[in-house]
Amino acid sequence: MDDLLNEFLTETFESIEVVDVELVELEKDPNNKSVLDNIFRLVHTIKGTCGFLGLPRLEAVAHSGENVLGKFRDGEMEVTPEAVTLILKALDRIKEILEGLEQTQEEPAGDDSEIISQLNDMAEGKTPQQETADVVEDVVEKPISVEGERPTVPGEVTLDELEAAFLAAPGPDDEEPEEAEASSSTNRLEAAGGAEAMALVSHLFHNHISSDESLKHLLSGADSRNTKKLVEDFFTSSFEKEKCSEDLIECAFSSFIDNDIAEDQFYNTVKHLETALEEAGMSSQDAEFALEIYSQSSTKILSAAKKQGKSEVEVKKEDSAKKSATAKEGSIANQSIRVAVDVLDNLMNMVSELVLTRNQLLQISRRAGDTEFDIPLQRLSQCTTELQEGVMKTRMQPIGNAWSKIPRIIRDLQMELGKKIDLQMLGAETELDRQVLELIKDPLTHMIRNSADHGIEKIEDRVAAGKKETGTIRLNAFHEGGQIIIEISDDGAGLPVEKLKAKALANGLASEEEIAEMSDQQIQRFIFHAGFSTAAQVTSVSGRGVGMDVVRTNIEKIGGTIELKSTEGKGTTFFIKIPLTLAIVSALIVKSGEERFAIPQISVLELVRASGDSMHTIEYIKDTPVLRLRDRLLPLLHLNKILGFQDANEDVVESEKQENQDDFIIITQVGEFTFGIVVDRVFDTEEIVVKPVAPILRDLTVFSGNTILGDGTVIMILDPNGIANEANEAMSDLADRRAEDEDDSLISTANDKEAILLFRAGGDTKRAVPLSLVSRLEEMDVDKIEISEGTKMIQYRGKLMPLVMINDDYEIKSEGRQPMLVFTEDDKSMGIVVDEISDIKEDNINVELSSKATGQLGTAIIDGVATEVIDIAYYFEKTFDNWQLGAECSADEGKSKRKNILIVDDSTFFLNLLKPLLTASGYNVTIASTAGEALALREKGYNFDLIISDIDMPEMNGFEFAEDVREDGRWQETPMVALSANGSEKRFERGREAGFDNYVEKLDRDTLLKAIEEQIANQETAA
Amino acid sequence: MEVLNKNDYVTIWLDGQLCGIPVLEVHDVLSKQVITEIPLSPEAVAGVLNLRGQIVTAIDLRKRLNLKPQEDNSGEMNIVVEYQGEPYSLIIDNVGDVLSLSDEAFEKNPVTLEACWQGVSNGIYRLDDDLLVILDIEKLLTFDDNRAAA
Repeated sequence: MDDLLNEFLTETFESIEVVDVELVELEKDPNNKSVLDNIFRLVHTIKGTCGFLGLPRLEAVAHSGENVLGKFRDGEMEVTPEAVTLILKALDRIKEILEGLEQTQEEPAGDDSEIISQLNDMAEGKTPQQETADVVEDVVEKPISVEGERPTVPGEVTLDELEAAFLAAPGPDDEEPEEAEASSSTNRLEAAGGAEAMALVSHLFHNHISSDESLKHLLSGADSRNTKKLVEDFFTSSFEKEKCSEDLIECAFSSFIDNDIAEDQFYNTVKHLETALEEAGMSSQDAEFALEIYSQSSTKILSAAKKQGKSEVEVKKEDSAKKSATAKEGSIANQSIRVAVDVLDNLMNMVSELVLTRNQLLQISRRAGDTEFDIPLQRLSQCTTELQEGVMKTRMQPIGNAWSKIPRIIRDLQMELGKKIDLQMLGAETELDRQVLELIKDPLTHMIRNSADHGIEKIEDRVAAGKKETGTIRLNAFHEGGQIIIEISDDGAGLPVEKLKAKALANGLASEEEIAEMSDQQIQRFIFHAGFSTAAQVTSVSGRGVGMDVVRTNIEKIGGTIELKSTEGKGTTFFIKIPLTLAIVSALIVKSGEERFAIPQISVLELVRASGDSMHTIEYIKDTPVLRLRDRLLPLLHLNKILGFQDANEDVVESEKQENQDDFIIITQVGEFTFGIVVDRVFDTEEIVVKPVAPILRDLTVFSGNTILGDGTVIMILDPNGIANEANEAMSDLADRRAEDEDDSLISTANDKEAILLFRAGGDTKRAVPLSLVSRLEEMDVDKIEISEGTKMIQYRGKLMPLVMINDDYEIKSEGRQPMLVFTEDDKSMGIVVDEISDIKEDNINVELSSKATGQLGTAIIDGVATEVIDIAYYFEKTFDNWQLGAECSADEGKSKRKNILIVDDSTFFLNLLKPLLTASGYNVTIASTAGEALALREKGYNFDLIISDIDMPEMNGFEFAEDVREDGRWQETPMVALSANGSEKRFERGREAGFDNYVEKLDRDTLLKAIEEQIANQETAA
Repeated sequence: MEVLNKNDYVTIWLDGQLCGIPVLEVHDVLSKQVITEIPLSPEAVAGVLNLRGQIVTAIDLRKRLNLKPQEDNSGEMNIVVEYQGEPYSLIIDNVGDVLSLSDEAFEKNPVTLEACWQGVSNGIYRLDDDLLVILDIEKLLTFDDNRAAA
């Protein structure tokens, strides 16, 4: 039953998707009969199937939907947007139920009476209830006399319905419950119309078969009257016994057996029997039974036919009912089979490996010269290539599959947003790898939503701007140079550069100076950053500030790129370039230094050979190499330098200039940026399977993976994206790095500058907090603020977040929106309410006047202005009393004696931050603001269990301090932990050398605590 | 204990020091391999190599432990281990024996042991005529993470 249900779910989901699209089509063209028929049929199928499977909710909803559709079809009702909306709503409900079904295997509980009554009202809207019922009954009862081809006439009993019926034991039929009851309680034969009905069926059945060219021969050599009688007897006796009369089978169908009936022919006869039963006016219940017994007889008939020694058809001992059911899907269904994606993926992997092995063999054979292996090898090679193409093809799907949901989305959006949008989809038949398709589905949908929501303007705005009322969104997909290009364009408002600038500034993605230098395009690219939404208001559709960054990540993940072109007032176009497939790529093998590398062909535009006597030579602007290529000057990068084989010092440049050697230049394009990579040699191209690099090498951005070449060596695959970034950071998206830097918390540069968030809260005093401590900036409606236990709270991301006032006198605005800074520590968040977030500056926090006031560390000069630096630890403490207590308890466990820790740091801010933290964790803390001060403590005879020291300090830096400590004296054995904002590998190494036992990043609270614990534990074991 | 081979170690030589790697962690022992160097990679990463169609990252244990490079490395060996589902090959000077050791001979690292050894070792076994430093695969291969944390 599970398999059946799964099959049903898959099919129904597919059908519903089709209906979605078709309905929108229908709305546009209400007179399109074929579309309507199609919709009706699909909904009817859904209804029929779920009726059988015992899914009353689904059935009821589908049934009501079908009623309305029936009215459309019969021309009794007009196709109106309201009606379509209602039907779409019904479909959504069906989808919902199906999803529940998928998860729990059971129909979820729920009440659909509202939507059903709406649908019924709609159906009744213009005609009385009576008629509705008639329509439905008509659908089933009206006998039809169409031969041969399966009719698409309303009265048709659909495949699924029959299939379902076959698999069922006699169960309640959705359409004729009364008859069903009747037939089970009285004699089946009588109910079905007695022997006469059977004779009629038998007669019709024979007529159908003899009129079917492909089956006619089955009746040859038999007396038709006799056969008819025998078949009639078979059915009559089967109906009497309410089961298949096995003994009569061979007799009744002897002509089939004699004429060597094949499996597929038998299935066709089932089809004819079905038609005959309908024409004979048999109720569906009885027809179902008749078909069942007939198909039960199939095994016997077919095996008898085989026994005759003439048949070549293999009879599979499958469930015969199921077989006959599949058979009825007819010739079309027989040409395609459903295969699990896993199987295909697996196949693909194997083929990839096969290709590699083939390449290896070819290489060996090439080296060996002429051998007898050559010819078979060539054949193997050919087969492999074809196999590879074949398997690739199985995975290819038209991109239209990913688009199927879009018309519906656009339609809904039009309704919701009150816009008029014309959706154009071109190149839906463009094929691409299934895997790729899956991965771009969501990004595409998202971008379409974006275009509709914030791209296209409202009608009145469009009119005001002198545009057509109807906006256009165009999706265009096509192949170009082994890639798929998808363009999504709208003729909407375009991206507002000024707004983006302001937003970038507020989010700290770039400083004012940087923005001033950026081109419009660079600024527009900001929308690909996390937390960036240009929609002024968050709608239900989009504008939540997540999205375009996810889109970009997803597309880049599959080796694609995304670009955009936008003109304010004119519209926006996105260009997505994605590879056809992910599995096998063709790559150019190049040499740099002593190693070979692969560059994906996709990123290679052309190859240029530069030598002294050719037309292309590398020229130098001072020391920067460039290449003149068709009236363009391309910047060049030496792969040797990028990979560190050569130092970028002047000697090399000089020698290169003089040498004027042969160079190969690979012209590459990354986004809009074209540049040349100079390599030492170029070999041929090879098909490679990209394999990911080991985790410890992931941060090497110049490589996108590695692979094994035909000759068995491993080579690295270069990533032109990474090379461009590596070589000239300025060219690449500046803010990218910034974001990454923030990820690594490397906020501070070597001289301890850090990003500081400036804000105002209560009065004109400027206040500051290190940006690194802030987890988010938010703006909330003041009416959303709730009060509980005397504390102001707000619901934030599904949790309650306490709000903190900067001081007791501070008053929240009575209306409007209030900005706030969100701080998160462990899983606790608090929001500090502020008047205004003023700016983000990079500067030292140098508290010059420490403060006695609570909640402040003191006053520092930031950006030339005296600014109060607030003490986040204080607010946390105030807000979460247990913040400290909890920590203290756990830290104190099992430790009778508090450990003594010395912190050496020149930054008062950090001292103030660390001290409460460590005290809270159960340590006694002593502070020294310089190394000298610390050493003075040593001379005085203090003992500590651990020393934590900053690295960047005036006078004596952390390394020197550590060396001094390790040299001699009482602290020689004391564990030392270095603390710095700059965590490069080199510094780490240097720290080790100087005598630090560990190196922890500033602000990394958890690691620090762990390191302290570890070191102290080590010390104890040693002692 | 016998069943689990938990105290069985493959012994290896590194710059004259005897070290041990739990035998259950060792997938392969290989002779010197062709290694593709990876530019820009961390110092201790010697490169990648092809082990029966699988790409394995090679770690030079001498570099990892801040030892000077071997003058003649023609005899070097590889020990292939797995860490977090990825194969790694540890390049060492030579492979010795497989030893079954009793718990009694085990000791914690002396505190005075150099930091870089402390960082990768789980303890020491006292052998009759030598000392066996037990290397911890996880610690050996997490050097990159350390850097990230620092």
